[in-house]
Amino acid sequence: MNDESNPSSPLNPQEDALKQALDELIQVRSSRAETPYGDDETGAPAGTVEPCPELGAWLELFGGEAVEADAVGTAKHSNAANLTAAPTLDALLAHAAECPACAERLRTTFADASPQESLEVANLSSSSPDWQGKLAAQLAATPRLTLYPVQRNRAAGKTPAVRRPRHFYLWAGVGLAASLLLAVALTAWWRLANTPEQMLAEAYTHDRIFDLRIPGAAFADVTPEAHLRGGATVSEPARLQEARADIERHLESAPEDPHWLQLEARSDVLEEKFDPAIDILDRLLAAGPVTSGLLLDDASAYFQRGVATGSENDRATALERLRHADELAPDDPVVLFNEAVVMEDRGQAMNAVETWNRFLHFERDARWLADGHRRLHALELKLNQLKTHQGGLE
Amino acid sequence: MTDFCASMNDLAKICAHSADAAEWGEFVRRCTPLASLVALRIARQWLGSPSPATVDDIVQEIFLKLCEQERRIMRDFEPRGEDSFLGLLRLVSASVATDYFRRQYSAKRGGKVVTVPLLEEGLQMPVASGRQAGEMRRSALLAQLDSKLRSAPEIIGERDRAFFWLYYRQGFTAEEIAGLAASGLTAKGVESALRRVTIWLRAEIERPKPVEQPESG
Repeated sequence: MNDESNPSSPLNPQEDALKQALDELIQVRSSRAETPYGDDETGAPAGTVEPCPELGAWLELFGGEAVEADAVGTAKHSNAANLTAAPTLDALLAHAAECPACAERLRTTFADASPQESLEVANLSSSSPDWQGKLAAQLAATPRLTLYPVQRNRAAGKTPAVRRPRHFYLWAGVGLAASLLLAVALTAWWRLANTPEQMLAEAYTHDRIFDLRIPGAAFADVTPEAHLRGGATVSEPARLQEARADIERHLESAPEDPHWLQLEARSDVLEEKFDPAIDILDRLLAAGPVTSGLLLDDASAYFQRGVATGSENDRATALERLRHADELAPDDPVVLFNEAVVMEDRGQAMNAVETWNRFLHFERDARWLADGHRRLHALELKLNQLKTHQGGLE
Repeated sequence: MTDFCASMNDLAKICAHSADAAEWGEFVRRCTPLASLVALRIARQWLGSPSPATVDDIVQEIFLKLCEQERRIMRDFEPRGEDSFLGLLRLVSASVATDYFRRQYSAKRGGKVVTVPLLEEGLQMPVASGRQAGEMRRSALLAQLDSKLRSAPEIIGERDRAFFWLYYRQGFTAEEIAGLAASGLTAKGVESALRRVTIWLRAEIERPKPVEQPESG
């Protein structure tokens, strides 16, 4: 700043001294303009200087947050209570204006680098990328509190590149869960639809060659046999072949597994290989436990062999097995259906009518129900004819 | 993931929880010039012409200080303005550097032994020298100037008065004063304020005083 001269009227000695002091102040400042960091020789503080503020308080002057330096030099953040006790900005400025030590500290800490200082800093080892890289690796390995990515972004005050609404993640989660459920359901359905039991049932329905039912099979009309019993499997349904392959694979690893042996016997019945089927099923029944399922399959094998060979004994054994199965599972419509059929075959018409009625009570499938009604009606008709015929004879 | 485009404040918050050497590399690269500058200045105050190795040691201590107590300083840092972390870094650097030399000198003097002068400096020199008398007189005059500045707070505010003394007595430049966020002015604004205060002060000194009339009768 330049001197603002003002020729004026003569001053008294006191005023003259003041004017000289001001001029000297301006002159000294102008003379050291080129070396602003030189020693201060303008005199002692003019007024009563208050105790110097803590180092951290000066940060307020720079728009930063207040910190205070403790005895060991640790920077501590001041809370609101501390700030109220801390000097105001004007008081800080006023103190620095009067206290050479604080003014120097302020300049030392906050002044920009002079060209000379910049050169010196650039020549330090700490300015080299190698030195900085080693230090960075050392610092990165220091103990830290870990944050999750979301917290980390929040801590860094970063906004994601694409801001997504909060419920985006909720809907994404719901969608993912629904997809997983659907996948699980589809897998379960596929596995269920492709069990050997289901494949055998489908093979039965696809080409129903006898009256007796097997578990799980849908209704189909009985088609006349077009091949020799126990012959080649060229014309057998694909599902039957798939089921057999699956059963054989399992039996390779567990040859004595009763479940897979029973399924093998059932497939034998469908292929009209009754002897091996009876052999397997009798063995399983002898080994136990005796189940209605085993008895049902064994009865089918015996009955079909009896039909094929004309063996009364086999058909009688079939009825015996079915009666036993009926005792174990009196509400099983498949057992009741087969039992009624075999009873009819064995000439037990009255028992068959009763069994058909029980079957109609428990069956839920409409087509099997219709078939049951038709068979019962036919049986009743036959019985009526028989009664009429007997009445005529009498 | 390294975000080299992050502001200094964001980078500090990232590194507060990061173990990524690349992120720390960027942090160190940006902070080292400032830490070195403050370390160099304080080392000069203590040693006159410090060795580069001493300054490098202090710089390393500054970064280690930031990482103490699971990086507490960086974790607790809350931005108060653009790149305000650099202000905090300046303070931490000054604190660490000062402490570095206090430790060194304390060790040289036998640890925690504190030397206390037997007599206060003023008492050792009961008779003021001529130079001291001149300084006292100058100090008194400056106090009178300051008193004049304080006498018209509606014209010369507290801040303008501080600018005046910072500039003329402490040797701050207008740019340095403007660099203080508390000033709220540009360098030109500071210069303008200084000019206004100086003109007013000179006029106040030279203003004729009303002549006191002797009381009559």
